[in-house]
Amino acid sequence: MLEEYMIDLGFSNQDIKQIKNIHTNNLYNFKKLYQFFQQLGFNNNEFIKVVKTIPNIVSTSIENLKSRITLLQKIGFNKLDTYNIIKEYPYILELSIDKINTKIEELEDLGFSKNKLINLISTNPNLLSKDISNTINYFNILNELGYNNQSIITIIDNEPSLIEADSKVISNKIKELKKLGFTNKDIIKITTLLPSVFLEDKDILKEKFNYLYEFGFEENDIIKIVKKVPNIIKNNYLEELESKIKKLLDLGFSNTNIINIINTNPNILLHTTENISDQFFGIKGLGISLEDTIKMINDLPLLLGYNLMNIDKKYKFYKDIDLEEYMLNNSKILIYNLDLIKTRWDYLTNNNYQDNKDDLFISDLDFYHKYKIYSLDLVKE
Amino acid sequence: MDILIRYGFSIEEIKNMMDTNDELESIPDKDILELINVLINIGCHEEHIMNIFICNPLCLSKDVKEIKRIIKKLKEFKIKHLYMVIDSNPYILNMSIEELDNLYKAKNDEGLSPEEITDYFYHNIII
Repeated sequence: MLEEYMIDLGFSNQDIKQIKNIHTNNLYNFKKLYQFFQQLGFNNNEFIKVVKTIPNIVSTSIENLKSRITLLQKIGFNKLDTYNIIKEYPYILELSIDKINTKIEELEDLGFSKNKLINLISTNPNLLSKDISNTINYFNILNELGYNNQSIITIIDNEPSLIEADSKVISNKIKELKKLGFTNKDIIKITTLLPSVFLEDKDILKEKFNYLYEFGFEENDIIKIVKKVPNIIKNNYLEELESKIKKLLDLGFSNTNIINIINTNPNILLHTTENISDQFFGIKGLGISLEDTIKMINDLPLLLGYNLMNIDKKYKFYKDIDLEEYMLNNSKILIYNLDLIKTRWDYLTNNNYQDNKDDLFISDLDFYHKYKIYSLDLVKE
Repeated sequence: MDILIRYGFSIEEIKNMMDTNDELESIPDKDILELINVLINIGCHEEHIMNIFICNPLCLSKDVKEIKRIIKKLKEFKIKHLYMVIDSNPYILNMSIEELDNLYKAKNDEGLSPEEITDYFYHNIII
């Protein structure tokens, strides 16, 4: 008897009543249905869940169900994909073949390759029954921004929930970012790195950089930081934002110093807290006092990024020619390439101008006006 | 990343670079080698390349074609010793052509002559 069979499988009396009220009483057909799902990889509980979700399936012919499986396999879904899709979205077994085919064609027209399509539908099988005119709308919106379809598909790959995003939400987010001063190119950079920006309904800058606002950064500063270093918007960098600022405070930098350092060189925010600390102590370890280290980095924030060997070599050279004090008070000279400085130093000493040490750091034009020679031309490559 | 080890970067340095650029692990060695060769061609020695990569590991993620375009643009600005400018300002490799053009135009609008603008690139922070 059908009821006994269903109870043996695990259906409750209530489930049976609900299903039997609507559908046939044919044990043979029901057994065929169960075997069909067993072949797909479903266990009893999963089969019960499908039947409870779409009770109509009990009266659907096996041939009909097989035609949908054949279609999914033709599209490229393997057995596991098929199992997962039906488990996640049993309604697919009720969709017409035409509807499934039309949806696949619409997505292919947008540029989805077979693999991306499989990935997308495996993650969002309900897409097959949805109207994707909204998706097509926001593809158009993003095309106007400067995205090509393949780039859009890549960001959907990274953020699958985007496929069902409301085009109005995306449009509003773009308007909001433009109002803040971001260009189309900036927005593409930011949203490529973090596609979920499109889905966030809060003010993205206030949300992600609230700590910087509270610290004293202005909105324009933060916009410039994000424009310069869009990677900063990624969560892995943002997680440590507060600890990086606190580390700089612990090292002895004032609030004003920190705002200056980060505004001048926002790339610092990509370094880890440990890295910032190691670099600071690496510079101090060259024999520079704590106060001078702080002053030097404040004057030339690039120092927190340079290879310590690079800084060491320059520091030793300036020490050798008695310019240590000058360097400590004018750390911007550490930006000068040492080949140029050494070339100028050789010229000055060979021509008895060794007292004109300030001239090591003048522009090449000024050097020419004074010594009638372009120092850059003297540098041997 | 074997190429970075073979080139002389320490494990610590590579780790720091990976922390700063979370894409570093997935960059093929052949792309890194291509970038190294581009920098060697403009006069960079090992010490400059190490400084550039340690300071700005993000440049390793950039398409080498784009780096070549930046170098071509800097040559248009009559910068003779490109390795000096890039060693002093490794972040210049992160800029777009448009940003470089805008910077040049801004300096021009300030009244600097082409020679003074070239000088500017050698001696100032460019990020």
